[in-house]
Amino acid sequence: MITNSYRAYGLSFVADLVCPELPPDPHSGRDADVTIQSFTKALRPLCGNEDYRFEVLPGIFRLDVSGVARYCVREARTIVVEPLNQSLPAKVRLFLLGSTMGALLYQRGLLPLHGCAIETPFGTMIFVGAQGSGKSTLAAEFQRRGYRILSDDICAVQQIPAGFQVLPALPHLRLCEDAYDRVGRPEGTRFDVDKFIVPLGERYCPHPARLTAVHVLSDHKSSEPRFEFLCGLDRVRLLFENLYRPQFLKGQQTQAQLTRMVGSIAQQAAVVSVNRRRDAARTSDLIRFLEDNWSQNFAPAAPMENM
Amino acid sequence: MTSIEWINECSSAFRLMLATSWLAPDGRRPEQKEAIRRACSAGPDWDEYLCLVDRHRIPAMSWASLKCVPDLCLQENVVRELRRRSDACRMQSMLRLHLLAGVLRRFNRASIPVMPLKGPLLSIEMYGDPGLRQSKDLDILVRREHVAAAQACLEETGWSRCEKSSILTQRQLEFNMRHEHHTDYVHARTDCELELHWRTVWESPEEAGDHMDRSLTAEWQGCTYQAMDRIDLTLYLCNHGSNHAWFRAKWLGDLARIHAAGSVDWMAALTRARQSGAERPLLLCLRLLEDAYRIPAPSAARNSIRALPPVLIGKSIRELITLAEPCTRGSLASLLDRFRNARFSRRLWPARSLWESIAAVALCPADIKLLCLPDRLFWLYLPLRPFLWIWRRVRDFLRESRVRAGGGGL
Repeated sequence: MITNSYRAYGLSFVADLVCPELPPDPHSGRDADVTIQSFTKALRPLCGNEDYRFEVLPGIFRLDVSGVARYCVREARTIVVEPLNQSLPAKVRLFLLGSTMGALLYQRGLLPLHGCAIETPFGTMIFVGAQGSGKSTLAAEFQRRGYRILSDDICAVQQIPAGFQVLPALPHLRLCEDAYDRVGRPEGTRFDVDKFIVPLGERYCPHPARLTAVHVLSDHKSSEPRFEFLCGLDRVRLLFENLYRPQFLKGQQTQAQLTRMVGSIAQQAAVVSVNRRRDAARTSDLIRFLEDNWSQNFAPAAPMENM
Repeated sequence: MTSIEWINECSSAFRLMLATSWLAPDGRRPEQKEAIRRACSAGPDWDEYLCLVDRHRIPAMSWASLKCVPDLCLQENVVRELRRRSDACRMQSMLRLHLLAGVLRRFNRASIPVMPLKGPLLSIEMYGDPGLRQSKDLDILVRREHVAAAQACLEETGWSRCEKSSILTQRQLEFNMRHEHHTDYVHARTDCELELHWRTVWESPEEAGDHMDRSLTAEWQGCTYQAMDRIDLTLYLCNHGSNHAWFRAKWLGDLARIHAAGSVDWMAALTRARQSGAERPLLLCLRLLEDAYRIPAPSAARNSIRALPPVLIGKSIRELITLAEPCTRGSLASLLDRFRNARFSRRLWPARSLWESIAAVALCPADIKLLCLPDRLFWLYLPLRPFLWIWRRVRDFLRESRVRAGGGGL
């Protein structure tokens, strides 16, 4: 059987299906952390009439996307995919690398936040916020300025003795048409299922980087942006609200561990509320505003060893 | 020494360092890949290569160019070390870029025209990536008449002078402005250094003003700045590299990129260089680019290149291939270097007036920092020059000995 080796979220994958979205594993000879297998008629359908159904059991996660595929994540080591009725491979991979990957991260005790992560001289900054809050647009603008991006969409946070680090995800940005236009239609982009895929190339940060702050993006009407450090339980609440598919956490074997991790992140990393007017033309102003606040509030980060 | 001789005598690690000291434009990428493959197949000493990468300040560039050759088999520890160096360089550049943005914004508010020299903006302009070029500090150029206002702006934005000027008298300050070319600043929060220039070592203040006159107003991150005219930039890089006898390959790499991309009219550059008496640095650069990167010099410049004094080529090659940093050489060696450098400079800029050369030896801004005399005794600096020079040497020697003794005790 032909196997393909990939590396993302600090994990090595071997897959019998081709996933061009995943970065290839430079050490493909080693035992993989996760196996992705594709079968036909392997998984039983989940009950219910919704187009998107899932089930979380200790050590097992099942997802059924009507007309696309069924997925199962077992014991944090195996992902089984059953494509349905000649569904588009790109669409099968969309849910594999999205929801299913999120569930895998939960099973492995890695905290997936729904946002993008940027490597900056002051450490890694995560931006979370509601869907359509401009996270990917912001990431695209950061990468245009020369910053490296660790992830767009799923930010996997891992606890390490010295604090927390963000693991590198996929080496591209997924932009809606609006955001794609706003960042000047970068070269080398392709359209995939529902979004424009912008390869990051050299602007992809391929190694973990220490987490400094989580920024919660929100809109407000005033023309001046605001940068406020949150305190108390607000931090924990906002982190929980911005988990990737938070409904997948309940029932996981790692639920208690991850809940504690949210509390620790709230204590050890800064949680910042960034309020600004959603005005596309102001993204570059927002970045300048953020850079000024970072330089005033955070010390330059020392490079991490042994990455 | 012919190009074939000196390149062939160098180690394969050095040849690999040269091959990875630039990022060739697409049209020349196959040749660069081939040069990298050839050097790698010769079995370079990777420890030496890493030392050379540090010595020539090309951590991100070398990693980026090695990554362009996908079928290379690099040892895991080499990859780890290169990546670590490259990442640190990138982060440093992003921090510098951020600090530069702050400086430009402040200067814009004060309506001071400012020209960033080299640094991360050059990296953006040449490679579209601010993190590729490593820079020790930030360099900015302002007109001489704006220096005082620029200093005030820098001090308002968290930069402080490395040497306090308050002890200098008016005459000393004037002397400093005439004979120095920049003031050093350090950023309090980040320890980043900045040099505020009002001219370059090889130019008069008037020539620095000409750069400003010919510059274009550019915009970056919502700030405006003066971007050097393309020919001026090429000449600036040639003069800068030659002034330091090309002891870092990264300077040659920048010009290799400019040359290979065909983005400069060399004949126009040569004409302007002749007018300003800076023809030799340009010719020297073209000669070294041909030797080190196999990029042929324009045919119209060939005869002039052949007529270059051998001392210029010899010293540049020696500086380029030596493993030691110039600053780590002992005080006796640095004294000899000074004499050699003076001879080198005379050959490099033969149009420089004799008075300028004498003034460079007879008057020294470092003397007035060492001994502060009142203005009415300012003339004393001239007869005291040899004594003050010995004083500085003895002080440096004692400092070096103390450092060495301290190091031995550890």
